[in-house]
Amino acid sequence: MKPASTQPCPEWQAPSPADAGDPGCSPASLAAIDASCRKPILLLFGAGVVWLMIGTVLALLASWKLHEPALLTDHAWLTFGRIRPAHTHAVVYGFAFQAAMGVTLWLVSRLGRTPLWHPGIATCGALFWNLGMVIGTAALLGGESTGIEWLEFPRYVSPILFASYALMGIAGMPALGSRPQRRWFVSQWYLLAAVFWFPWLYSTANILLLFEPVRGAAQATVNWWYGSNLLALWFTPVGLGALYYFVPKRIGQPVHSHALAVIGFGSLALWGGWGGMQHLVGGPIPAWLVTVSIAAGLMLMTSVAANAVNLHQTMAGHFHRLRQDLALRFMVFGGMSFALAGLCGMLMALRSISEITHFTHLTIAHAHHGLYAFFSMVMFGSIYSIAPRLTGCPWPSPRLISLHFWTAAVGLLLYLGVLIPGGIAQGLAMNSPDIPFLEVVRGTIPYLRLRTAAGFVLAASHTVFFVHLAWMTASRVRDRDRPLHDATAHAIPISGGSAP
Amino acid sequence: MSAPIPSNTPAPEEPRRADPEGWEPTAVHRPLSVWMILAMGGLMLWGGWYLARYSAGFHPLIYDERSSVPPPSGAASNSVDLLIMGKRLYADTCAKCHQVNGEGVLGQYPPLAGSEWATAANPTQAIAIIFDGLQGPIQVKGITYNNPMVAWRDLLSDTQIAALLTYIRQQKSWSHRASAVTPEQVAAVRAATKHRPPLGPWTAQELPSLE
Ligand code: HEC
Repeated sequence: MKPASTQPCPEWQAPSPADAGDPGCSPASLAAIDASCRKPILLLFGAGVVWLMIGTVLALLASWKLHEPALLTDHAWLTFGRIRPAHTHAVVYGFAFQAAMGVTLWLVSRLGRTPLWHPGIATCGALFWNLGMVIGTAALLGGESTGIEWLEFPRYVSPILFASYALMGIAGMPALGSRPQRRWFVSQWYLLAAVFWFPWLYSTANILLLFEPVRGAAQATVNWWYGSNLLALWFTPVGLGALYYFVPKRIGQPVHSHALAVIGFGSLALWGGWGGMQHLVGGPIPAWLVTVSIAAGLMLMTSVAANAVNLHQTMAGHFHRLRQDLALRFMVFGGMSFALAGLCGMLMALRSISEITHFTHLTIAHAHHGLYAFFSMVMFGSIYSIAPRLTGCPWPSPRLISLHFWTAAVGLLLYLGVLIPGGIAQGLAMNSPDIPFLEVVRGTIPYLRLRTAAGFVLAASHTVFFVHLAWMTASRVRDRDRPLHDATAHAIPISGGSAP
Repeated sequence: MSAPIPSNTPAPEEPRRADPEGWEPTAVHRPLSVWMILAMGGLMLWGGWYLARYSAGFHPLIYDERSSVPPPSGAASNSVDLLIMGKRLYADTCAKCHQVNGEGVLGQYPPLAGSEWATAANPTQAIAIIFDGLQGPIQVKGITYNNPMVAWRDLLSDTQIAALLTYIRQQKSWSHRASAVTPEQVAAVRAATKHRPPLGPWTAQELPSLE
């Protein structure tokens, strides 16, 4: 479908002066903004990547154990039941969350033309967040888990994380509130909303599940509501906020349509929070609860479609830039995955499909589709764009960025290409009364082996990223006297081939 | 280690803005595509229809989205077919020893098919045997057995024991035509024999005293 809006209608007005671009602010105040962001955000990114590495090791181990159950079972802390939640927490709260927070703070202060308020507070928050992560992970490996998916950290950890979040959030508040332009840019809507949605989700889920636990089936309901909405109302808006900023910024074009952006945001805000219960199809909860989630999922497609079309039309005619602009590659990959993951999520919500796919490896594939192929890829692209501005030092090797991209892309395609059909096959087999359960389990082994292979490719890509970041830090440390707001810091990583 | 390339080398095609660093993106105001509006309207309609069709009247007690009948008010009915329940339970619990065909194993497990104990007009003794088990010599169809039977008091509910005995006592292929057993009868025996467990399984001599 080619939107008619690409042809100017008779009454179409030439862009008003405000649309011709926003002049931004003076280099001096940009320097002040970046200086305020430097410590907290580099800490968030650096620590995030360390957690990504930890999470990767745990993931490989967990994945391997699924087809080689006898591996490393002599130590209790290395058993599947402990390393699996440790993996999810390391990548979700260690990497993805910290990357999201860093990108959010940077975008908010950049777009609000306001430095972070007392950046030391945000740095403190980031430090405490990591402290909470260390305590929580140690507790998980020590066998102390709440057993509630995505909230497995024992309950004394949540107040630490919550308070750290508040510290980081406070530092961004003045920038979030300032509106020097006539109107807010799309990214600002998403970030403003996300910054308040997260504490709402996290505190509600913690209170209802860990502090004043609700009973019985209501627990599963709250649990799925939280898991689903952490993705829909925290990671998705942050990812979209970054996409709406970096895609137009890197190609030097305005966003295709304001109206589509309004629809995309409005429908996410309206329908995003109703999801989760579609995962309980057939479960012992009132039918209407499940139905509401499924209907909201259908309506959410308006958000997915509006954003996908809008971002695509913004990029249209500029796809050739992907050859040179390496950070943009991550963005575009992430944007496309967003559209696909959204579509899959809606389909999986439908009862007739959910009856097959639920309780299979497809659910895990879907989590990686949203959280990795969409969100993390966008975060990688954002870190590639932001970090040089904060360190004042360009990325040492465009080849490594390209290598990171290709290993990540290949690993992801393998992972999803294996686990999605594998999950469907598993679901069909489980629904067939003629196939004994053990045979179904045995049937998943080839898929699980290939999944481990994909894991190794992804691990290679993370290692490349980690090494590159360390290299950049090392060269910055060696080159201590370079002025921080050096023009070269505004590097757009370009591929090695086109370098003179 | 390749030498860091000068990073602000302009890409072959320079972005439209002269200064990409200072410039910040905006969004263009333009009318929406008609197709987009139609597609979104369609999705809304689908969602609304789905909600109306499968919400079962937003009733808190309906768990099946296709049902439009409200569940019966008042106490939930718990009527079960004792014969079907009994057949399943028999296969799971008693058939290990007494065999599926009820013939038992000669010299070890007495038969239930044709057993005077199982089909007696008053089911009290059979109920008691299931509750606390049986030990010592017992004559069934003229043959003496002496082998302990396990107790089921804490493992089976009144309804389950009633179902088992109803099934055994009315099993057509064993030509049984005894009366059905109700959960109330079982409950009465449970109360009357509640002091039995510490004394161990019944013996065939003790049983007649129960009636
Ligand atoms: C562990 C094996 C075993 C199981 C299981 C078992 N029984 Fe028995 N049952 C026996 C033995 C052995 C005797 C004979 C006891 C004796 O020698 O004193 C017996 C005797 C009886 C008798 C009295 C004798 C007769 O044949 O009528 C009845 C009635 C009876 N069992 C019913 C049941 C029912 C109903 C169940 C299922 C809940 C059951 N049994 C499960 C081993 C078992």
